[in-house]
Amino acid sequence: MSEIQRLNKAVTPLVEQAQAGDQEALSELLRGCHPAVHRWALSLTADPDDADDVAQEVLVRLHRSLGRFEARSRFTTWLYQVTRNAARDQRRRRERTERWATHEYREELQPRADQADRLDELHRSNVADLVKSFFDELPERQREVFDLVDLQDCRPVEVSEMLGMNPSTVRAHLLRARRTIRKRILERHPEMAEEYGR
Amino acid sequence: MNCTEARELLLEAELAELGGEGESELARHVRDCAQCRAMAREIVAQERALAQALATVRPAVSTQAAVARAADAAGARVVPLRPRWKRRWAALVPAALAATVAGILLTSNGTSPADVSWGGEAPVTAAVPVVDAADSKTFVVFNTDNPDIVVVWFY
Repeated sequence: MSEIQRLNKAVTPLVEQAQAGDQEALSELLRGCHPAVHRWALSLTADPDDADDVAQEVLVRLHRSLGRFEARSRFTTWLYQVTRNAARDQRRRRERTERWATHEYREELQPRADQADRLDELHRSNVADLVKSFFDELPERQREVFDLVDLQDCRPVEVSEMLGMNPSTVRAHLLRARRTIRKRILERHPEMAEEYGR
Repeated sequence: MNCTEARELLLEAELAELGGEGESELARHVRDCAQCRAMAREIVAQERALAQALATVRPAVSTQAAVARAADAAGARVVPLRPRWKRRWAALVPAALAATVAGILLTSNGTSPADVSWGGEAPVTAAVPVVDAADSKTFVVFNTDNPDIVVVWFY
């Protein structure tokens, strides 16, 4: 059972209670969702600080809009859509800020110390230098699909439902992402570089 | 299957196959060929490490604090006055227009008020047709001088 299936099973009973006005159920629901939402946001934004903001925004939206969830899809599918929308809005805000920032101001937008510490968490293992950068460089849709299927063990059919995407399109994105990342992994090995190197 | 074919397939295969699981040609080749097995293991190891690295990035704010903030933020939302006014006017304008048109028709044709039927109520004259409208629709029926023609205005 994937993390998402486990989450869905755990929070589904809370959704109805929260919709009926049970504040304790609502808090428990938000607590249950926060780690998964943050994890998705990290993949969608490729930035720990943005992921924090997106996760916080999703909790607020969940608080306000839970009444609009009509159970026509799985709760986690709906929640993932809310997270994607929040990540999209965050990206637009960031783009606007960066567009308007002057050269001097841009310097202030460089990673702060606390952000640098958190990026270090990633860089502490060799994987950060190697695969994390490959992962971050993937086109967003490929990164999203690769993350959900290969890193979070979701079934492709589940992912196609979550992303509202045709299963064959999901598979195409997945194979392209795998090919890009794996080629680059193998290029790094001297004995394999000749075969996979560009 | 030779190594060249196997290495091409390694780039897109499922992780289980890379681990030599199952009876596919690739899985069998991975089990039998040490070099291809080394490549497959490298891919699996790096992808697992990536998954682990992403999982170790925790939110800067604890879940407890994030939930409390969300509750505050959701409660603090004030509905702006302007949209509410807009909505109220949006409902009033068609009704006012309907009343005006009805007034003009009544005055110009000398029609008695009994000839006008307002939506949702029983017809006041036998000549008014039965209008089949959804509950959410409001309508006004105007009789004309021609008994075969009535005007039904949905708004």
